[in-house]
Amino acid sequence: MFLAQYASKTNGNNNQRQEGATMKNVYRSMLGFDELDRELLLEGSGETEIINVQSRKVSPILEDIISEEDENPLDTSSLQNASNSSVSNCQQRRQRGLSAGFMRSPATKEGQRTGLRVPAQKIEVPAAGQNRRFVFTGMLGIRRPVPPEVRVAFMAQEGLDEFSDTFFSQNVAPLNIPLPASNSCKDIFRQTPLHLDMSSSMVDFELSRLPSISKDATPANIEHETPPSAAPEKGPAMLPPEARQQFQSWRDIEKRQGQGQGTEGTLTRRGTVLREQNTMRTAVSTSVCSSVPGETARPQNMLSKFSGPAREDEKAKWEAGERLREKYVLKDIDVLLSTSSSDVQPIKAAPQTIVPAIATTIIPPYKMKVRYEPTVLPEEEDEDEQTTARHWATRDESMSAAGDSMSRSMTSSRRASTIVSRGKKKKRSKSKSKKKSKKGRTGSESGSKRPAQSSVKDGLSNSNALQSTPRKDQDSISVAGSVLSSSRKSVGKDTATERGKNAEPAKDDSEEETEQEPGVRMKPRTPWSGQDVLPLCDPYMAVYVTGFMSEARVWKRGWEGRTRWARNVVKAVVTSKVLENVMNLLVIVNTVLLAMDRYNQPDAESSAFSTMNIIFTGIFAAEMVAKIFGLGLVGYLSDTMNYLDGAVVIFSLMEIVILDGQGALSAFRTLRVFRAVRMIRTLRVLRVARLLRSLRSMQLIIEVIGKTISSFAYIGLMLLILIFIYALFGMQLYGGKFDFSDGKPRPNFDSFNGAFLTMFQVLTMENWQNVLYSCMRVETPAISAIYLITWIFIGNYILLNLFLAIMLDAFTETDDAMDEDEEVCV
Amino acid sequence: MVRYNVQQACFFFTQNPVFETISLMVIMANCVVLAMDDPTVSEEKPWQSNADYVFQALYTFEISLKIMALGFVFNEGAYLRDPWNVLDIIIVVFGYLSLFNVKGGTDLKALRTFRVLRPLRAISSVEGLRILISALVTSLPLLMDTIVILLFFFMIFAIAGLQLWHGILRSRCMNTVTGDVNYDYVCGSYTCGTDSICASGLGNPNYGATHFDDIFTALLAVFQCVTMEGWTDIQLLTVHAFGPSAVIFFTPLVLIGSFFLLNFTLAVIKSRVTDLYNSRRKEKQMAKMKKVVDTNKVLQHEAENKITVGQVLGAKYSDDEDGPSAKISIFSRLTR
Repeated sequence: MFLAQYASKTNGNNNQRQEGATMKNVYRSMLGFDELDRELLLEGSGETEIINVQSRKVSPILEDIISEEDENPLDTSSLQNASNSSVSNCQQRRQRGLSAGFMRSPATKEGQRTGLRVPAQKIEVPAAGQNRRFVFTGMLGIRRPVPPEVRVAFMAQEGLDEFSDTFFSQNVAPLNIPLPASNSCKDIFRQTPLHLDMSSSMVDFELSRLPSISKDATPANIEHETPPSAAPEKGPAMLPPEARQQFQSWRDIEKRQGQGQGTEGTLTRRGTVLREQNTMRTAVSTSVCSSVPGETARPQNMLSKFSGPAREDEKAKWEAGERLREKYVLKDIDVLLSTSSSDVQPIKAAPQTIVPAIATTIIPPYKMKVRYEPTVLPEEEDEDEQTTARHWATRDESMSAAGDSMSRSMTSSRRASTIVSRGKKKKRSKSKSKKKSKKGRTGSESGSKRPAQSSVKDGLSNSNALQSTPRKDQDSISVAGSVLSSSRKSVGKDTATERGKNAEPAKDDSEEETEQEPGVRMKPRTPWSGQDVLPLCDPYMAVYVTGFMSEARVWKRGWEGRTRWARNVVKAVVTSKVLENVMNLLVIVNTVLLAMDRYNQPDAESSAFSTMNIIFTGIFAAEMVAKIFGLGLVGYLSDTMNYLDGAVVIFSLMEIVILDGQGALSAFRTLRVFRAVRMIRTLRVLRVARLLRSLRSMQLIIEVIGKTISSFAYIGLMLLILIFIYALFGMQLYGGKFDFSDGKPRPNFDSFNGAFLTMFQVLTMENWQNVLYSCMRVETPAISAIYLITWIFIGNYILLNLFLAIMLDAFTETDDAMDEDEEVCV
Repeated sequence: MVRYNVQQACFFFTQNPVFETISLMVIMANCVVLAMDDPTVSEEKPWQSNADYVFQALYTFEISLKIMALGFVFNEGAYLRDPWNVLDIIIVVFGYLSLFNVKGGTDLKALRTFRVLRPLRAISSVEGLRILISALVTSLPLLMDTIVILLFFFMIFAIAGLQLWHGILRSRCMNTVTGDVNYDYVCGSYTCGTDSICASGLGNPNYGATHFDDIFTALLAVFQCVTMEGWTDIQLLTVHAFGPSAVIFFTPLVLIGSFFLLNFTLAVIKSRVTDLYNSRRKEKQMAKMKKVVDTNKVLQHEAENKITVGQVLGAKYSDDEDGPSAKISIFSRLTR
């Protein structure tokens, strides 16, 4: 009865919206200026220094907007005006389960909002106002092939015979915002996935979710035909009492947080920034963030799926549910961008902050790699899960009382955050007793926490039982998907039967629940939103992935942002294949020029060559500077080949300054008196070595060298010691004795230097027999022969062969390792 | 009690890396002093002999400390049970012998030659060198086999040379009129001009170093041929003295000896090195596998206790202290 009533109401609402939705509105809505302010709302916030949004993929749309903009600039406060002045608009918003007031940060001050200006491919939010909060919502999905295990799981969950990508994406998309029935808007979103990537540009960010409590959050309110507070006030004033209360508390929390207090149970979640080579990467984690688990999974446009006459009843059922879902599900997440680095904390419970859709794309690589980490396993977590189960069991109840579910989720998140502090202590001891005590505990927990829910206890225990079965199997990620689906399915069945009968008692619960401490449920478990997989993903990895998949970038305002933008451009240029080839070509040309040098060169020719040299040096230096600018010094130095390049450039510059310095630089020319300085000129030849960079086998060789260098060092030391000993020994034996009538031979033992050199000559075996003859003339032939032959044997045959042996070994090993790597990759 | 403490102190002292470094530096200083030796003058300078005393004293101190720390020979892990220490102590003892006999009657001054072995002490101080030497020592048996094969081969050719050519390299052309001997060319097969006869019984070429008159010198000549240094000269000498058929001797000698047999040493060393490295790798792998097995056991245990992935990771992520590092490690694992 109640459902039908509600359905009809929302239906009317829907139609109303459908009529009003024009393309312009759609576009505007994407920027958050019209009805669809859920899609993308760009505001300023006091803490933020944003900026302009640069976007590639969205550009066609934006261009449209631009053209509209030029004709008719957006009213800077249109949203506010709309929400505040018109009751009907307000009501409309409320009935859609989303109040404009919630879209705004409490910190937003009236009248300070500056509008959006959209220059070509940019959405600029001038810094003039202090409302620079940045709210991104409605970031739509990432279109990637859905991995098979997800397909299977999804099909099992939904009871589908065949898998449909669109169906899947509509159900699993990160933000399935109930769009207005305007197909165009839907299509736009579908065709142009909008990702916002803050990679390489953003500062610290903060994730906060605004409470979803709408005015008609409670069943009581739904019965009302008119909003309880007729006065069109701004902010919380237009909320129902409960919601207002919650809003207020949220506000308080945020205030507290602003003062650096209270991390527990806050609504604002802070994210860390991944520092990656001077680049701070953040993900704008748009999340499904349904406060009621599972409710977001079904967008409105799924209705089209139920077109067949045979599915009519199904459709009706679904529609009824959908209305409800739409009504009470919070679908917004905002991203606060703050420059205050002191706020940065590590992401806690980070998996929940990430776009679920990412999960669908991340699964395949993760499947293999993620393993259990034998870490903390607090009991509370388990309980948390069971809370989820409870959510499931009492889904109807939650639906009929969004405030209830919201607050419940908040409490559970509060609990989750306490886990953080308590988890460590309770690590091991719990896991053992878990098996036995789980059910009992759960019962008692649920009893103590929610005393008024005795009427739904049956459902609870039922779902608990269901929940415990699959959990056993969730020991590997590969099965996680299927397990999830099975568990969800069973739970879904469960709830379906209970839907009707639990609606009534839930009403009472809601009041009980709303009195509980406010907080945010951090990890809403959805039936299949990807969030179940997400915990398997490293948050940073998710960030990484978003970075790749994103098409839009946000730059900071001011010189810093511009610098970063420039760096990005330079980086793209510098790392491009084209530039590399061009540089290789230049190196070849330069090499040819160097080879054309000769003795007795005409002056004109040599001056031309020196000019060319300066030009080439300039080019290489410019490349080096660009690389350092684009990649950062650390990034530049992380490539070992760059050391060579840099050294060549520096030496070339030194050569120009010292040898050819003119004018102010001529002072350096005095350095020319050092003959060694001229050796710098020789180092030009090293430029040829740049070509090695593009040689693939170079990698192997460098790796082998890296492996063997330490062994070689020891062999070299060994050789040195042995040469030393043999030289000393030779000095003892033959020192001063090579005084023949036909002159003293070059290789002799009269001094340490000579003896050392002689020994080295014998080591290389060049003309060693001459040394032997000399030795045999002055000493006993046997001693001389033994002396030299042992040295040849030890030095040449053993030690020098050891070089070879170690290098061969390293080569084979490296080759094998590379082969193995390839196999693994495949 | 006191002795025990002294031993402890000595042990602590000798195991200190600083001690190792200092002893290595002393050796290096000694090397420098040795290198400054001037063999052309018969008597060494007084400062050098003084320095020698100082180094001798330092070595004695070091060795006595080590002996006090480890025990001399009778207990487990005693000083002399390490072959490197034996080398050390021999060097030092020889040093003393040469010192004492400078004044004494018997001439043991030749023992001073053993001073040159002092740089060898550096080997025992550097870990990498010790490993290298032990690797070489393990390859010694096979190497000895190679040497035996080589010697056998050399012997064959040396005996053949001895049988064929003993004494023939002593013949030179002598002018019968003037009595001048042309020392540049060995004669025999090579005919002398008119008025010249081929006189034998003169000196061997290369100041008497190259000949096949006895087995040892013949071996030396064969070895020289195998090293491929100046073997054409020897061949030329024998061709002149014996005839062009001498080439039949040298071609297989060089071909088999230097191309084939000498590379045996390379093969042997390569195989030893590969064995050594493989065994090291295996050890590492075993250690790794053991780790994995242990982890698996833990995981199994976890799984038996019904722990979900979400719990594990959730716990991990909500863990403040080792959270970031764990994340980063996973990150690096995944991006690889």
